[in-house]
Amino acid sequence: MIAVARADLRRMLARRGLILASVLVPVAIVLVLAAVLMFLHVRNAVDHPTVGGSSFFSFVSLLGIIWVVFGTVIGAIFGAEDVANGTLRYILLTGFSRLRLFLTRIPVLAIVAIGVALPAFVLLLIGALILPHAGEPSVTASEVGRLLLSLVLNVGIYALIAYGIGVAIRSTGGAIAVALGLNLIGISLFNLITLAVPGVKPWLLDSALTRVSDGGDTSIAIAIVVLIVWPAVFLAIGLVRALRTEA
Amino acid sequence: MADPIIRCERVTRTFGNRTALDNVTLTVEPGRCFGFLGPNGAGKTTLIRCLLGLARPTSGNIVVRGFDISREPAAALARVGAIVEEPRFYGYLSGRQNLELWAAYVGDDAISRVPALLSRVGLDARAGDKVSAYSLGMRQRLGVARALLSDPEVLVLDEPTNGLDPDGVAEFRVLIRSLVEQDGRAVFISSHLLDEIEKVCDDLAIVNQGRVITSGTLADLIAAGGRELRVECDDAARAEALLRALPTVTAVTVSADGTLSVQLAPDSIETRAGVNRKLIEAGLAVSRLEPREDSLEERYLALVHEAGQA
Repeated sequence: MIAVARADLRRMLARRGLILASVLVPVAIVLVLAAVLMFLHVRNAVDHPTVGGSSFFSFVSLLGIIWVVFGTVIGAIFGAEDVANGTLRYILLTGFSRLRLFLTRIPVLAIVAIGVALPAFVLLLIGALILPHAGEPSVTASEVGRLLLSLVLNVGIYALIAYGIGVAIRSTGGAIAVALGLNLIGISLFNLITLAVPGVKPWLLDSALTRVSDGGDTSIAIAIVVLIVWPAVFLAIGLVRALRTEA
Repeated sequence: MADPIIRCERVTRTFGNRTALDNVTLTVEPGRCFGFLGPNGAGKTTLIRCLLGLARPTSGNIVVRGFDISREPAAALARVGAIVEEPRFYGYLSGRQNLELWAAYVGDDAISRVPALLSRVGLDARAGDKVSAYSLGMRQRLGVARALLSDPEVLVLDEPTNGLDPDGVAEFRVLIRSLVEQDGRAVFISSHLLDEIEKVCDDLAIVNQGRVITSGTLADLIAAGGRELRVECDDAARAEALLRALPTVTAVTVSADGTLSVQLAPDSIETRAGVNRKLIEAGLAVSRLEPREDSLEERYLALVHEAGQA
């Protein structure tokens, strides 16, 4: 299974357009942000004394949506590609089972989706450390850890949900559309339930992600359960479809 | 005789009210090329999908390499290679990268076979190119290389020459025969192309509307058809009357140039010599006596027509 995971990882990384876009778009945003802030600082250091430091690093949350979008696209493609492309039957003909294939790809997907987000994250951290930030608190190790955890959980979970949707839908374009719609809008719409039933808030994905990475007064145990159950539901839907689909 | 490498017993597959396969029974022997011939929509691809475990028969059994495909698919498919409908690859990977990826799925030492296989199918010079830039013929050949990764005992090829140009078809035919004759592998080919089946296959089954209407060796199938003798002699009218009286002759026609077409009963073994003897004993000078057997095309059309009428 490790040889297959390694080969599948190489295959995903060979999708140069997708991978480069996933890496370079967030990196470009960080560079543009840094350039604009430096320009303002150089032009008028009195009004704009701080460029780096903790405030620059907090742009992680701005990049979060971009990372979720790319993680979702990668997950949906990874899930739907083989059926849509007609390559699934040739994988199954090697004797490699559907279940093993489905399970092997989960860690590969997590590595790719999180891996493409890391360069921008590291660049943001470097910018926060080296750009001028007089009077501004510097970035702490705990802050780095917290935001890294947030990145890993957000990108990883949304990519896994998209993977489950991709396997279930089996059309690459359709899977991307549905997964993006669900991840960017649908799950947020669930938050409206809290207006009528405030007690369900800890069971919503957004709340659980915030609770685990940023803290809060709700139960951490419930948050962890939610972070497991939400992707597990979509993965289960995908798995049921994967096991029943005629390749 | 060795155990068959593929055995289908009363395989039926239905889709709603439509019966795609109807009690299909056939065997494929090791080291033979078996043709599964039938018109479009006859059920060829459905049978291939069933015997590769990609679809489940509604009833009946399929045994591949001694293993029931429904119960032990991994064991049955461990040394089976296939191209189903068309060879599909990841277009953004090169030919070599694609084979290396599938070698990982196959396991064992399949990765070590990749260079030799690329060479065997004549793709070593283009192995580094992306598959999206390959012609259909190149993809077919890469498909064969992929099918050979597991060093299969049997190859299953679904309409393998569809869309190939004449050169590609000829190259593919040579490749298939080498797999049978040099390697001793069994090859199962489905096709609607009579010429292709006739040139590469040893055995065949003809399928129509999901039913196998005949099967056997190619030679037996052709020999089982109607046989004809073309006869030229010095008195066509006398010869016609004489031959019509023979019990082994089913029909006689005379063309404008005086050539007789004599239809012989299929089960007679001495009819040609008998006809000749009869004519000479009657004092006729026979200047030409040429046997003409049905072509595969004629046999195929006759059988499919008969099956359609039945």
